[in-house]
Amino acid sequence: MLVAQLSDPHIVARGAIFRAPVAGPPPADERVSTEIDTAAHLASAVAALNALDPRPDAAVVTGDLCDHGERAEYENLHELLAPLQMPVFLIPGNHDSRDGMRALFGHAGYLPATGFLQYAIEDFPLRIIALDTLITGQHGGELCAERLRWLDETLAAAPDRPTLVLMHHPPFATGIEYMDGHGFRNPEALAAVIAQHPQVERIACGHLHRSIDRRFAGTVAGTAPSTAHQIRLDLRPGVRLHFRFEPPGYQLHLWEAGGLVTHTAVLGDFPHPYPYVADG
Amino acid sequence: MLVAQITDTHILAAGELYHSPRRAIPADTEPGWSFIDTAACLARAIRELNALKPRPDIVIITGDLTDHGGGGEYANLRSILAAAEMPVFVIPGNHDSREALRATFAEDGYLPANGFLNYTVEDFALRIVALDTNVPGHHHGELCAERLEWLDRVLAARPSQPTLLAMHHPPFPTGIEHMDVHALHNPAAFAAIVRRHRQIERILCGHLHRTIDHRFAGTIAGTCPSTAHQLVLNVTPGAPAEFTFEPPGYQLHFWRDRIGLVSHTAVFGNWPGPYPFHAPPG
Repeated sequence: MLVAQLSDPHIVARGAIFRAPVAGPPPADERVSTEIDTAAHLASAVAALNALDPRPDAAVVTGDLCDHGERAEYENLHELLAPLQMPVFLIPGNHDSRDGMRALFGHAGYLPATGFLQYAIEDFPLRIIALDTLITGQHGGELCAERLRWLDETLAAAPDRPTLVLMHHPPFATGIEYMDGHGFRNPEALAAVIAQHPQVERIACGHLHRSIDRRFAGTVAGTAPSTAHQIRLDLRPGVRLHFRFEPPGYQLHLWEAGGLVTHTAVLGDFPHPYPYVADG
Repeated sequence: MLVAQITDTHILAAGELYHSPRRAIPADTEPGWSFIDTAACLARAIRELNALKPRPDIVIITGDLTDHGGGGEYANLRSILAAAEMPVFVIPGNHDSREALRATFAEDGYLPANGFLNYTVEDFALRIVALDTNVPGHHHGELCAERLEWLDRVLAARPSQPTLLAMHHPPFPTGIEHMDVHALHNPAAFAAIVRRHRQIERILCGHLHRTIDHRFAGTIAGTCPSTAHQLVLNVTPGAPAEFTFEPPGYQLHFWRDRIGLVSHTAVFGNWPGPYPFHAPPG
């Protein structure tokens, strides 16, 4: 089974352009580019997934689907995702609105009608459990007692089924200090639950607009690149957050008998393919 | 502590270009892309790692240092690596020669004087345990009983010291079939040892010329992009062996007390930016 993960597309209303929130003049030595056509980037990603052979069995988008959580943005997102030739499952990020997601994607049948947007997908060899780390009005994330209890009970219901857990905020500090300041608030409580359920093969996250991973509570937690703009890898304490137009990307999670293998891939046209013979 | 990982540099003798075997290249392949200046790729990688702030404490190169294991190739590698402003540790891949590698890097003092090129680095907050999976004359990897016993013994010696393992061949099938047939031959025996030593924070691998990772025996095993050419991501059974000029990259393994190890994957090259995202606080 093959699951494609896209993340952080930050879609705005049709015809609008994503603008990075630069709230004041940057220092004189910093160039400023604040406009990004996030819809075009997502359309390219959708086309790339459709062109994959073998085609992924499912796609997931791990949050920050839209930039302001507005209805017109979800309408645009809905149109952009419509060409996907595989089922797609969405989770909210800190830029999203639960009601906005429900209004446009409720008909797909996998989102709960009320409350947190947590759900399990049971249709595939790899079980998918989606978590909702949104705290309305804030950029950090959490899983409150109610959400953690749901996770614990849902995992306990199928202890022998290999499982991929989705959540927008990674449950670890990355070293990119500004983002860690808007990170996940209660990683220890999540770790205590995950450690009880060894069938969790991976926790697939977004939020960081980069590929980062670590060992977490007996499994792996990792973040996927954004389909649009990437965050600069800068581990200096106190440094400002910057984005950088490294190639956007996605991840392919390949479930086979031997376990889950995660490939990180780039989007874009690069010269290829050139054949070689490994033992030539 | 910050560990930079680069891999699969495939250096040739000075002045030579890496090229795929000619018989594999269809007549209509654009000739400019059949040849790769792997030495220039590595020189750029070293330049960019030197410029990182904070600067990595060490660099690990996880094998396929040279393309044919020749003495002239190692001499060229050595001269390119001389520009690195931090200690560099190397391990062999399937394209390397154990003795030529040993002779080239002997004066650095970390390689054993004879036998397999397994060693440990004890000078840093994160302990490094390097493994030699090379099988002369073959592309697959092996950890024979002697190497596995050595590994078990050195891990048992410092059970509470957070540790990185470095080995060229990843101990798991990736789904890229033409590479999986040249995989590590006895992953189960290796996994049994890794599982017993919980201080292993990550297993750093190369060989695949791509970023791939996997939950493995209680820890993570992952492969790093090449400094030069990448392999096409194609998990179709029977897919041909092809490379692609996606951007080369590296990994930064960032160790902090109490927080643990976090691994970042990054690309080399000049990309538009950086552009400020938020106003400075206040």
